[in-house]
Amino acid sequence: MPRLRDYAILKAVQRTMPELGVRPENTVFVSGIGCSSRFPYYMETYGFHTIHGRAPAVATGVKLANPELDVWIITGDGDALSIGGNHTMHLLRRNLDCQILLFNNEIYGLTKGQYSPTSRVGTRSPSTPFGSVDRPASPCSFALGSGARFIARGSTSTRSCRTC
Amino acid sequence: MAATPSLPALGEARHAGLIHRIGGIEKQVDTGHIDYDPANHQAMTDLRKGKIDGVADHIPEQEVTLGAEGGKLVIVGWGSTFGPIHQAVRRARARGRDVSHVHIRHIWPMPRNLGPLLKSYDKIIVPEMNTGQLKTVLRDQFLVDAKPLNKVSGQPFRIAEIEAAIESALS
Repeated sequence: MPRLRDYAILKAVQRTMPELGVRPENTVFVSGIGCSSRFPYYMETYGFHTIHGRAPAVATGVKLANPELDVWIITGDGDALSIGGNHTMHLLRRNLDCQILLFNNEIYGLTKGQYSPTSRVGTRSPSTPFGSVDRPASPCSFALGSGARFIARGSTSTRSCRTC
Repeated sequence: MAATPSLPALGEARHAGLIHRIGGIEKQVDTGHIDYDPANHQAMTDLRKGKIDGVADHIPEQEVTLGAEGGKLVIVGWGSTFGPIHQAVRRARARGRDVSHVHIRHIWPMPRNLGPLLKSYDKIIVPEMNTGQLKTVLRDQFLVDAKPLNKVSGQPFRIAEIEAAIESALS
């Protein structure tokens, strides 16, 4: 079963932010729901663990209220591409001045492993006991199609995670 | 994690001490870090209940919408039933009936004086477009004999329906 290496991403961000000279009190992590979205609790910055799929809407509000803040959206494949697919598309096309970190583990991990929008065909899960039949969504293609300006992809199993 | 300074003195870092996180996962009393400890959950639940209960100190006391404080009958409403209740009470009072209208705006927590106010009437009728939710809360909170007048037909109360309930209660 696919697994999310949250700790690798957390460690990468915790190491990289100080190297960039980012001020914690100027930084906000806004997340939705899922294993990815517990992220803000582990950062010594402002954080907002919001509602499923709706982190882009809350982040937009944060940025509107205080455009000086460095806003990061933390989401996952289910949160960003299924529950919040609509919000994600509009955030990308509006080109809000923020960053999105989408943790793609190809599964709904927090709720015991149901198949997600990025699960590969044939994924056996509690909700697809005979294997999933849907073709997976591609997050990068989705972002390109929605008009995102900068898109990058990295793997938690390689050192590229630090530079992704 | 580094401890958050309580009140930074330097202007440069004046927001640093205000750093916090908002979210639904249970957090440790005082520190705000994630904490699933049962005793901590109890303490946080009590803390949150105390905050909500304390809202009652910041809302206005309940006023009698039409009529007098104390009497034979009060019609207690909330929300969209205001119109028919108000007109029914106005018409009944014009006929000399001892009936008042109390319309509650703050449903929870309730105004501090609501209990004593309701107890100043002999009878209480609560017209609601549900199966008696406010009636149940009033009975639970104040041990008063609030009687329901329910309607869930998809149409609002008619003034005549509430007038009939007033006449029936006072006859």
